[in-house]
Amino acid sequence: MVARTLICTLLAASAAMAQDVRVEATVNAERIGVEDVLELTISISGGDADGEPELPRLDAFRVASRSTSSQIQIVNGRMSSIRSYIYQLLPQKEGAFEIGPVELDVGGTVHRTSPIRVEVVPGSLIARRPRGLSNPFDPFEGLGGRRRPEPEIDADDVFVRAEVSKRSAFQGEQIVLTYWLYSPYVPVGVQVDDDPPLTGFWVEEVAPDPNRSGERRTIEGKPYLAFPVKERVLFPTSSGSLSIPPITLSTAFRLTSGDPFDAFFARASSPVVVRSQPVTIVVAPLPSSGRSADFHGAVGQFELQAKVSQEEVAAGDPVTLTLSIAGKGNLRSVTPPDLPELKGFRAFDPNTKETARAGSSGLEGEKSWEYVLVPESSGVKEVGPWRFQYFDPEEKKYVTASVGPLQMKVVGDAIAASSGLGGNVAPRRDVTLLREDIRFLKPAPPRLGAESRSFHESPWFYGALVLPIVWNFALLLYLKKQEKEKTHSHLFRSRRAHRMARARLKKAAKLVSEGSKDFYDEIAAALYRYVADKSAASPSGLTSSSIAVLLAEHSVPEELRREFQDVLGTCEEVRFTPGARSREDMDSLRRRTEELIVAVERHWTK
Amino acid sequence: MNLALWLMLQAAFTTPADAFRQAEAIYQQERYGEAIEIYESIRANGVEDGVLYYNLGNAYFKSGQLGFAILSYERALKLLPGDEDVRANLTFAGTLVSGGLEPPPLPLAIGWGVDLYQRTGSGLLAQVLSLSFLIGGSAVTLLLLDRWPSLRTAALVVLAGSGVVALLAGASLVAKVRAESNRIEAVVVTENAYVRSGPGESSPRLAEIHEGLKLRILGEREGFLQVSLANGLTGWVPREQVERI
Repeated sequence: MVARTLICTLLAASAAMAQDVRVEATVNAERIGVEDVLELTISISGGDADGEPELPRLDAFRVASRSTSSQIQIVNGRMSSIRSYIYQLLPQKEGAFEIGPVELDVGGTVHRTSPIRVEVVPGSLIARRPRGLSNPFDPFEGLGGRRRPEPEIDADDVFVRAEVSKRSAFQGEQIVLTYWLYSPYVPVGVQVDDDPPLTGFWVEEVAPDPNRSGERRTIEGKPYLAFPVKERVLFPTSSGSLSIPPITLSTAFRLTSGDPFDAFFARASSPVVVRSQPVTIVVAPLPSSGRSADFHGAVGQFELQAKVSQEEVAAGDPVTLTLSIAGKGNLRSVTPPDLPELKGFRAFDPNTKETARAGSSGLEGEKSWEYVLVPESSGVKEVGPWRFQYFDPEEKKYVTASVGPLQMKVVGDAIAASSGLGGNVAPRRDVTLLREDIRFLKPAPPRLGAESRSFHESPWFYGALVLPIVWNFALLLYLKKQEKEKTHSHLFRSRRAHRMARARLKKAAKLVSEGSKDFYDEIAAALYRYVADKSAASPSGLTSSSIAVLLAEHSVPEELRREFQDVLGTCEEVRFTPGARSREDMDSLRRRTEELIVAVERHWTK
Repeated sequence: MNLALWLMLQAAFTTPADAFRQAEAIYQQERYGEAIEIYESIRANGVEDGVLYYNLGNAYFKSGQLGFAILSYERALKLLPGDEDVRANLTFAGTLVSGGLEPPPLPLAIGWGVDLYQRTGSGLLAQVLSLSFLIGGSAVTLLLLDRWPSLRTAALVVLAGSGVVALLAGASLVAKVRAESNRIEAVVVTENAYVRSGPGESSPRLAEIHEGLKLRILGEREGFLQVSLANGLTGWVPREQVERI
């Protein structure tokens, strides 16, 4: 709440101040010459502007400089401040113009000045009389008793002149432009306020010469001191009537009088603004007659030279050919003379050197091109000739300079033998090795230090080594066991054969007591089984005849074999004949079988 | 001091890829000393990496420390035996070694074999060895089973082939692993060094050798290493003047 009240009070205060604000625009003259300088002053009293005044678009004037001044007045006990913005305006054309209104924001309110009408007439109207400013460093000033005479600068005696070395020139011909400042006094602190661009010219600025002093010149019977302010070399780039626009300078002068005190207290006048007159130059195009294909736009006076670094050279060694063009003129745009086709040489692009300097007499110097040639075959070689055509504006004609041909003795073996491809093949260029260097850094691997643990340290490696041995060994064991089991079962069966047969016979004895006919099946089975077990054969594949063969194979005697067949035959017979058998028969057959097996067991050989 | 601290922080808080990028940026600004510090700080964390050694070698090379450059390249080559960049830079650096000795040329076939041996890493050898074991083992299995008589000859050929490969790879691997664990090679890291006839400063000098020269270590005694040069010369050099690869 307090803050808001405070803001309201401040606003009220500023509003009250704004009522006293005055913004005014004034000019030093409402009628001026096109060569004069118009001074526009915008003064603000009673308030502070928010920023600088904004000048409206001025088509007829250029703003050359801007300055400010402040003044504080106390009238009737009230203090007021006046702030002034002073603009130096350069008229660009003749006619009647309106300046403004100028808008200015003071304390939140936009103020507008009333527009000013200015008439610009040809020539100059204003007598440029500077205001005499006091010298703040002069201790005697204001001492009252002694007032020294103030030398007055007559502004009409101060002017700047644009002087050119020629008013008509050929396109590309150099023109020296010098701005001279004429005055009866010695200028100090010369400043260029306005220097419009020179269109239609290529400009080379001449570096100021610190040792160059003023000259005494007499114009219309009046003596002047003339100082070169600025010097340029111009090359017209187009033909026709080209205008050099006026330059605007501001300068002060050293004031001297007969008073010896002046030797100690040199006084400077207030600055004077001066403007040159525009200068027109008529540029003629270059004539077309006498121009040849060797002309590439050089205008001036030139000399062409050519030299080689060595007159005798080994094949394959480089030779430097230097072509140089020296003289006065538009050297910057001079191109090298066309290099004729060099047979038996490899040529590299030239290295260009330029030592041209702009001076009071124009642009002068030398431009050279260094070609590196490598002869490829031995013999006496000729390079050149070269022709260079330029236009001499003094003589108003084209001049052709020529040099060469130069002779060179190439010794040693031809390194690049004829390729056999015919004459019109461009000279082969080898890869030029500039320097050798190490290969560049590598980016970080995805896993740092991954390769430091080699595969031979990992368990997989040992696994892979051991695995085939293990599995083959296991396989071998398995196969061995199988083999063993096979042979084992033979022995086993053979050994058990007797016991098994006896067991069957016991079972048969039981069947005897039951009187069953199965008794005979059991007896036959016991015999078959016995032979099968003994000979490690399958019992199902045995027949009575194959049993006879097996028994014979295992050296069972003839009568036992017959007995075997007999018993088996009895069993068969009973199976296929009906009717019961007596127990005695069965029992005796059983006993016979028992004895038979015991006998066979005894005789059986492996 | 500040730099060292900063580097430590960098090493602690960034990934190796970041650190590498950092070092590369510094390297490109030709601040090779700082690049070396970064790489060495990564190495100080116990990282053994071929690419790291390669980059470190480049930084040493650019900073003019030829001995350490060659040492780093040799270490990189141990970890990346088939890498062309490492090989190229080592060869290039080797051309700058004063008085570099060329070993006597070998017959073409042997030279080719030696080259192959040098370019093949122990990891690859171990892989070849284990693969040939697996293949040979499978061939043995086929022969044992004796199920397919038509494959018998093929299995025998495969077994013989994998046996030869396994023998070569195994022998090379053993040689490599032994050489690596013994660290029998060294590089001269001082500008000059003298090969003396015995372990001691008073022993007569046999030869003057220069930074970057590779030596073979034969033995060690009293702060001296017994070394042999590529041309066969044997002598003693102070231990601190060479660095084991």
